[in-house]
Amino acid sequence: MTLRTTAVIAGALGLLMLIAGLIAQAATPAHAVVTEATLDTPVVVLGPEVLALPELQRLAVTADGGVEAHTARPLDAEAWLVRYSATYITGYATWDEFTTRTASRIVADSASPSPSPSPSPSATAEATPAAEASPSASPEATEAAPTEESFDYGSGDLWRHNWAGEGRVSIALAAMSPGEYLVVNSTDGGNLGTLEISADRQVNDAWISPLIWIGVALAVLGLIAVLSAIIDVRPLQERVESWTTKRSRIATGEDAKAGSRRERRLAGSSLPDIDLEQKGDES
Amino acid sequence: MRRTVVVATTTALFLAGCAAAPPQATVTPSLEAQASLIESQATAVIDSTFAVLDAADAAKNQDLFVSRVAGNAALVRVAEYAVAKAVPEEPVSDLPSQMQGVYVSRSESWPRMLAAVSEPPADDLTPVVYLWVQESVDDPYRLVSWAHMIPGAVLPAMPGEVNGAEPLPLGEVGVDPSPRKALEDYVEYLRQGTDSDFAANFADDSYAQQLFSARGVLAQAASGTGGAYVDTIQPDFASTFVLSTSDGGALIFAPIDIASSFSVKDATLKLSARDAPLLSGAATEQVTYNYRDFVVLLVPPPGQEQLPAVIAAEHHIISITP
Repeated sequence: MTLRTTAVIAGALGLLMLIAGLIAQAATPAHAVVTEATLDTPVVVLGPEVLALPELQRLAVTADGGVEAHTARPLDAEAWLVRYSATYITGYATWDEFTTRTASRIVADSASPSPSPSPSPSATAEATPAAEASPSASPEATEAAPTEESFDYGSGDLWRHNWAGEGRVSIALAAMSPGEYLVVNSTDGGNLGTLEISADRQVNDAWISPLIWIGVALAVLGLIAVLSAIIDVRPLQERVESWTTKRSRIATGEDAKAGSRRERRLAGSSLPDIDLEQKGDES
Repeated sequence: MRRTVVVATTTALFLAGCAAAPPQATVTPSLEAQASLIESQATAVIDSTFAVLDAADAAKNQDLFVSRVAGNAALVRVAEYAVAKAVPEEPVSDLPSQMQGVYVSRSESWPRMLAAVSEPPADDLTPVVYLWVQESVDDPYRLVSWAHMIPGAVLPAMPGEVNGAEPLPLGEVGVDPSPRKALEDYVEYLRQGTDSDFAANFADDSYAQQLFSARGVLAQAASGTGGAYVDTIQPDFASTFVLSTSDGGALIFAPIDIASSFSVKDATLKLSARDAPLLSGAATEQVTYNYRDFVVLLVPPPGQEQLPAVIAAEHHIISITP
């Protein structure tokens, strides 16, 4: 196998490497990834094992009104969460989806029917018209009761760190103290909107750039080999050889100049004669 | 050639798609600060309490206590407001808001406590020991008691704010006597007076001495008119908290109820200007002074030649009833 054939094969291989590298580069997923979830509870919770994931960067929660975020001791947070419906983010199913668990709390309405003894049968008929004026769940009643006031979540003394925002709260997760819960809630008791967590995922792409550059080098080498096979360079070679011969004085047979280094080189190198023994006797 | 290109492209796509799988949340890191309150939380509670108290003091209005002052502290302050309104020379007691020490527990249940020791309010006054209690996770920490330190008393070293002090049960057997026994004996000592056998079980303290001194004077005055003076003293174990000290001792925060009944015969009692605002009804031949005292009692660790001692105590009057 000639050198040229080897170079052509290397060039073909380099071309394949270049194509593969470019395709891989185009298909590589981004390092930064944002995973989103829609929430239908007023509280969302991330446990310490989720917050400890080193890939996580920031968390953002949206709502129609105010949003508060807090951290707490696990035991304290769990005691507080007993009263509220909450979505627990337990990890990642894929990079596009969280694994979650929802705990729903049903709180009895304070306006529920009283358990007092029922009236006598004769009172039933009389009470019928009055029932029309009783509070109902009509749409009018719902619209007439704006929910702008803050919901009472009890004391905030258990929270270790607090954040708040209007419509959105965003937190850098790297600053969280290990071992604590992160609890985010809407201030009006309504459901939260969305949860977004940005993460810096590990992508195995360190090999792509070297592959591309090596492919480019081999492809160029192969291209040169192919070009040399296609183009007849013998006239050029002949001209180069004749020019080289012309420049060489040895080839013309001219004598070296007297006393020149060429003359000495042609005559063979000579060392100076030194009589070492004689010098030793004199001392 | 075509097959080679297909294989190379497929391999590239496969490798390019080798982003790491999503991380799995499997390891739960341990909590750095085990205490039920970290420093910023305790500071927020203290600052909020004194902001509320300052506003209430300025107006002498207990309605402004909101949710930060409750229990015996509220009763005592209300009594002070009543006296201060009636007697301008009797201002409410000075409660400094600057703390030199904060004691938190690592309690995992409720009710929980927070204690703090103030800077001395004046050169001639000792620091004040405060006690806050949180009844449940939804409740705020409320100031429920305070007492000045006994002159010369030294608070023991307590675990830091990171880990918090271990809450001890009243029946804790790691100290001798147990907190319950120490409190029972001390209350019995207060009931019986200086001649009590329990006197030898406790270091001298000015609180007990003042109580006994007043009792002697008032008993003598009452008996001179054919009447009597009786102190009824009861501990409040349900509201008592115990923390472990750094050296293995126990620090007991105990409210004590004292009812001092003073009666005369064939005479009518006349209260002083300071006491009159606290009287509900009319004084006749008998009145009862109701106190909500607060005592901080230290039980030393086993092996130390040291008696249980009162560190802080205060005799707080809240009302006078016929």
